Amino acid sequence: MSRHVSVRHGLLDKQIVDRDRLPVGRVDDLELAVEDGAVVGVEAILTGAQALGERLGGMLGRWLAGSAARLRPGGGEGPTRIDPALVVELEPFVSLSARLEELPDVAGLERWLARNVVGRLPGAGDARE
Amino acid sequence: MSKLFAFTLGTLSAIGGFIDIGDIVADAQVGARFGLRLAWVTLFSVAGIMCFAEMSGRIALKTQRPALALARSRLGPRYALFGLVGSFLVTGLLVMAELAGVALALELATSVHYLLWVPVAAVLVLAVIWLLPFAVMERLYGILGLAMLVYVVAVWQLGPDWSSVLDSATTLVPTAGESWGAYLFFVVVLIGAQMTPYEMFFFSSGAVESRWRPKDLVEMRVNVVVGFPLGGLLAVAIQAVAFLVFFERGIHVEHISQTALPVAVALGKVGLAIAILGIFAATFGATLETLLASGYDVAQYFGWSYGKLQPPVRASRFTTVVLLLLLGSTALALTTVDPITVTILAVVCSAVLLPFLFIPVLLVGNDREVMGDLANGRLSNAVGTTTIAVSVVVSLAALPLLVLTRAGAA
Repeated sequence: MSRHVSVRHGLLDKQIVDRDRLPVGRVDDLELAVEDGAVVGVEAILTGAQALGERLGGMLGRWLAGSAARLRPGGGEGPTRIDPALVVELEPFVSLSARLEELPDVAGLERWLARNVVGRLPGAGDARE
Repeated sequence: MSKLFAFTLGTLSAIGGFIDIGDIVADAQVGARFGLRLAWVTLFSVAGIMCFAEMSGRIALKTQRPALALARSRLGPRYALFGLVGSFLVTGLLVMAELAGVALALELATSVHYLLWVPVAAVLVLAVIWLLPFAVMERLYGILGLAMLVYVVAVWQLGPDWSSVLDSATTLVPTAGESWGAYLFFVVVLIGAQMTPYEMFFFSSGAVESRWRPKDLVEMRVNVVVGFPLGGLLAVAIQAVAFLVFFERGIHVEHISQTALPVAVALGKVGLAIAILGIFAATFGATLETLLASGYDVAQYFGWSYGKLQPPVRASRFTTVVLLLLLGSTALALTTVDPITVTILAVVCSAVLLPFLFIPVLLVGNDREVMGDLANGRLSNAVGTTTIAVSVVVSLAALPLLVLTRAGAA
């Protein structure tokens, strides 16, 4: 297998799933590791609308990043990061070796809504099949 | 047996997706003003939507991902965001229109003003989404939607002079007293109402939710080949009854109650009751489809967990988007804004967006790296490319026609 992956086609914007194949988010941006002015690898996978907004730029991008940052419970600074060492597979999804619960920074809004809004509705925890 | 069941299921959902408030309104208006002179548009729409539903279904079988979810990694986040915002706005407007359609069907049945029924309809939609599994939900409104076949029966019952019907269907110019502008505007309206992109998204997301796999290819295709033409037949039947009852008398369709009237003329009270049931089921099903399709669009773009198969709490952002959209649509419907105006506006905007939403599907369908042996064949590409070419023209002409003809005013 080739050790070279196109960032544009093989990594950016791909779906990230956890160990149980549950959706985690998208590869919204990448943080590169730079040594002496040369790119030596991927420092972090950035996910979430904040990272995406900052990548898109422009008015829409700023708005997206701003609202995502404000909607994020706990209000961490900067976009959500995932350690690239957790990645075990790139095709068809970017699969992680961890479970979503073990990544406390990821999908904060999802958890907050699950805890405070949707989870409070009757029957929200019941499967439909 | 389970095969047969799965088959009827998907077919019914294809009818449910095709016939919605936009269709019912547009077909009745067109029939009353142009007879069957625009029936050819439905023929084209059916071919186009079949092609793209099949393609997106095939993509879903092969990749276990809905077609539009792949569009972002393919065409970049900017293009996909444009498609997302556009289709969310249009489909969101349609949710409101469909919901008003459900309420109007209830008004027809009870003579209680539709605005009082809007909150009831919203609660009913919420209950069905919250309580029923995906498959049961599809089956429910699909089977009830078969009541729309009463329009086909009504055509026969009205005992038309078949040669004049055929004559109308094969004359491709505006009727006397109608301008080319209005004729072309209704071409756009019909295409927008019948080739709605949410049908494609819902079909492929449904295929993913039903866990279809490449071995289900034949079943998926049978659904497409039976479901959409049946929807098209119903659409032409609505045009035909409106032609037979309204056209000669010079009556224009301005209220949704009029769309059921020809059936009452042909089949009396029982026919009317069945037609109301059909309209209720079609708009109710379409409310569910537009609502869920909007949720799917957003969730897939951002990579959230989504879907009806898991408990709502496991897809809390998806659930929140769907609930907020239902709330917003209910509020919008309660502003007393005219549902028919909103419907026409929504389908025209939908027509503008068509090429932008079809192109990514065609690109992914052709990608052998992703699709392997299930990549598009010549037929898919020929029909798909033709459809896109026509939809580009329609997209460019839609807004100018809307303004110039003042929404097809007579």
